[in-house]
Amino acid sequence: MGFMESIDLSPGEESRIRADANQTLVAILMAMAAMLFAAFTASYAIRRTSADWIPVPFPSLLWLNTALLIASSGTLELARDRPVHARRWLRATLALGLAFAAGQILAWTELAAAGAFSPGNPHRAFFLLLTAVHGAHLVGAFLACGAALGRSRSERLGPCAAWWHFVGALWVYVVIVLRFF
Amino acid sequence: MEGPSGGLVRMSGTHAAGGFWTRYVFSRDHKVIGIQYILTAMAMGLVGGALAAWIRVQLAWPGSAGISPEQYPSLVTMHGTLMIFFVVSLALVSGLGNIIIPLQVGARDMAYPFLNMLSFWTVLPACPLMLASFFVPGGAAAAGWTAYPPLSALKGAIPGSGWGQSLWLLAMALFIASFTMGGLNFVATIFNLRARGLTMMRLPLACWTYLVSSILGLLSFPALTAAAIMLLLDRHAGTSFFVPSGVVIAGQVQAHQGGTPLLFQHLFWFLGHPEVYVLVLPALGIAFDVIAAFSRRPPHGYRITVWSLIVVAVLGMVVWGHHMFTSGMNPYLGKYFSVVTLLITLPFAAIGVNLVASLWRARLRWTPAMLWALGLISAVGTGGLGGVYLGNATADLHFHDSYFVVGHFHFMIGMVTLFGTFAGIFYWFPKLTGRLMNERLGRLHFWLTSLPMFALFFLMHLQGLRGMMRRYYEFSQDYVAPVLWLQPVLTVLAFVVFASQALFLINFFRSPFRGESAGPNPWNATTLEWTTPSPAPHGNWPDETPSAWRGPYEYSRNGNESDFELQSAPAAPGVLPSKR
Amino acid sequence: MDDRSPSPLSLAFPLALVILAAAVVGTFFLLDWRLDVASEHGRGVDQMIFFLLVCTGPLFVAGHLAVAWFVWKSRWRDTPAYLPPSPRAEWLATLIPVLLIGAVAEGGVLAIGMPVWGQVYREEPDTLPVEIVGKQFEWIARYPGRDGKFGRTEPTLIDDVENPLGLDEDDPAATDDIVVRGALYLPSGRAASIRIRSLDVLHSFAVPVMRTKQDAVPGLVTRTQMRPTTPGKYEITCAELCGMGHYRMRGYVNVLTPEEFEAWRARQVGWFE
Repeated sequence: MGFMESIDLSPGEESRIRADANQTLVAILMAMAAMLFAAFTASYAIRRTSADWIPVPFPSLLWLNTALLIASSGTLELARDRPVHARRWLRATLALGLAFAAGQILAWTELAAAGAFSPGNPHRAFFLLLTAVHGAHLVGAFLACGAALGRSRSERLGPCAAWWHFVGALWVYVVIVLRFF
Repeated sequence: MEGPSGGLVRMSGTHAAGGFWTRYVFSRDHKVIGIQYILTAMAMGLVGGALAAWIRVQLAWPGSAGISPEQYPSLVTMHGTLMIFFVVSLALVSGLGNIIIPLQVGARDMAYPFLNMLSFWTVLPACPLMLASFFVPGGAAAAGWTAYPPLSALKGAIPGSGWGQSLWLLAMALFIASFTMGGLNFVATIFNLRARGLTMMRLPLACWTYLVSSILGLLSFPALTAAAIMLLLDRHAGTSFFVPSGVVIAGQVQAHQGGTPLLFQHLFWFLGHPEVYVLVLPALGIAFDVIAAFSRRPPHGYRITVWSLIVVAVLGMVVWGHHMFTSGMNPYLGKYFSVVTLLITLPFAAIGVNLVASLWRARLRWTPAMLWALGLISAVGTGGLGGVYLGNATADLHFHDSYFVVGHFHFMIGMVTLFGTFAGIFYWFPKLTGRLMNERLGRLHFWLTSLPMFALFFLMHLQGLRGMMRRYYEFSQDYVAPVLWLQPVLTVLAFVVFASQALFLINFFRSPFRGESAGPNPWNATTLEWTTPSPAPHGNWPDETPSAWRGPYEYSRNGNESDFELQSAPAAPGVLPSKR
Repeated sequence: MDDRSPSPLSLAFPLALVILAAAVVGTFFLLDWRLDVASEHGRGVDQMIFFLLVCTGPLFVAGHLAVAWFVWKSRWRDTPAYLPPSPRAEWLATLIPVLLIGAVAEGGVLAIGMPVWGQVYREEPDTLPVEIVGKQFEWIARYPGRDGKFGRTEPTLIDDVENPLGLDEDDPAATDDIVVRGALYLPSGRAASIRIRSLDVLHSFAVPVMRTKQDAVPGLVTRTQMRPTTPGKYEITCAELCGMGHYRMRGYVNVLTPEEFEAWRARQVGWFE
């Protein structure tokens, strides 16, 4: 009757618990990131009402970056769908992600060269702040998916794929805030 | 000793006994990490307490403490910061939380033991950083624990706003990172590593409070993170998120323009208010567990308490503005925040009433842990009623930033949290060390700490009623004169409180060697941690991990031979703990 | 552990609670915590506080006595007497005190508190416009002068001695503005609409005897209203940490009779006159 008396957890049960814990972890991290960006958005909304708000032209490079990041989410889903070719698609995802990061750095330095944090330009300051904080979240996505590449089992991709998609969605949100508000 | 292969052992990495360093220093054992947190908090508590005593000398006998008006705000700021983040948070939440949670949910360790170790080693360097700020040019941060800009943003505004404030922000960043890692572990462990049969409604209330408190903390700290990043940029990169145009410091017009100081206050209190519950709720949870064990009956209204905790947390996230009634925010918002804040009285009072009702028809056992838990009831009741005054926007016109506020929050995040911490340490000490703490010393410590503390902080309420403002170097206002004679009295009380902690330290450091031996279950308590030998080994259970067959508080069930039933004791045939 | 003789603590602890409750109540009667009040809304604030004291006092005493009573009763019990209550009884036992406390808290703020709150923040006609400006570490008052308009100020024009508020001489409205350092003069019986500014960091314009408190926020003009009732000299203090001189950031509200006030105002000359 007592299931714990003699038997161990079966390997399947143990990995299920680990996957559940990882899911909890990622869910909370998402909620936290959402709160962080909500705080920044609220600050943005309040700050933009002041007289010194001058909108910065939206670097067109960022549209390309956005497309790259959305595409990377697609390849990641392909990796999850096709266990046989999982590693190949995972590499493609990481490559697209790296291309996005490179594009971000390019756009960033361009803006920074024009006097990034000059006191008189809050919009530009938010631009750099939001892209930088988003970049920090992207690093987490790289670490998670890079680690998954090291492992062969594609069913473990769940939590790291969730985080990758989330970081993509976060970027789309950032673009909408910066470009249209 | 090789841990058993079953249960959740592999979740926790290997449990082989390593050398000294891996066992006691870079340990992944949640109990060792918990003790490390508590020792760190004790060291910081000595500093924070000494600061309080020093401040009290100045307040009682102005000029005699060797504190200059320039230094005074630094001392106040550091006392608050150390006590809230580096003493109460570390000892009660990170420390006791680490010790209690895996044991009570029947897990061999936290869900992420390495992250847990990392969390401790992230906050440890923050302590010397914070303390080092006393010795940098300009002295330690001086803008209050709330760090309101522009005071905290402009280097010339106050001496501590130079190096001191930068170190403060750095140390706080490390603290937030550590607290986040800890909270993630708490939540994942409680959600996913519970023993078989341990449904959420069979979870001990201590675990419930840690769960609610962790989620609340995790969701509210990002607002402070955002505020801290923007404050850092305002200070060092020349942005103006919080500093408005035309600020004139010492005759110089500052370059900043267009920022909003109120924005920082909103972001700060979006964390700051939930933080109060992050600290207070676990103390209440511990009190429920301790009272159940020493009153030999289940706590009154378990389900009501659980739901009240959740409602407190939800409401706690939308009432931050009651710290800002007089800040210049829209008066209509003041009305909203006042009405919603006072709604918290309902669930909070339910928790308090359940604590009191848990003593109905009790058969008390007078351990020091029980004394602290009973003292906590008085403190949380008194402090909670004080909250009814402060949540009232109209009354707050008089009380805001007065000693009434100082007295109130020392009741809540000073007394309630410390009482809960002491109760928890006395209660779980045998599980960690295999020995009991000395009861006589414990009782003496209780009386010498609790009564002077109550008098000290209660009298501050009355000074606040008379209009005494907080963070004042000295008081020369005519209207406060009738309550100024209390100042030396309060200072003497503060010294009694501070000195009596020596009794606790002696007890804490002597008992692991000299204390009476404790069996696996010295209190005849019911929850899962009492099913393993004391001290609990690395991996927590030498054999299989337990399963839960019943609720957490089966005391004094009529018809039973003994007056308690362990949660792991198999129930009647056919009743299987199915849920993992 | 399970000795049958009652512990001396089961006597000492309830006794301590009763003494504590009595001491708390007694302190309210013995200590001189009551502060004079000299404004109309201040009386409302005091009524609010008085209501809370009268209502929460008995709750405080009742709570402590309940704990003391339960603890005291436990002295004689040595058999398991606990019977789990029915869920209904459990709910009722919790709900009744909770509703009581909730009624005190919400009822108080809605019935007594909010009208007073509204009194402080409503825009009344025929108020006396005044401005109070905080800077490290003093209060500076300004009156709009004969034209009833506050003149423009400019941070770059600020000179601590010559022009502490940075009044702009080119603005005709500024010429007759009256600037008084460290003191605010108000007539009794007439509501003053006070605009509050800060030149540097956060301050809080607090007049405890008036029960007035409103932060001075740089970059923002905040507002509060008060109607002084009693002529006299009342201290202004700062209620928001503003630097090392926070504790000595003082000023006075001089409440005069309406006639005295008009006479005082007639004697003042504009800043650029």
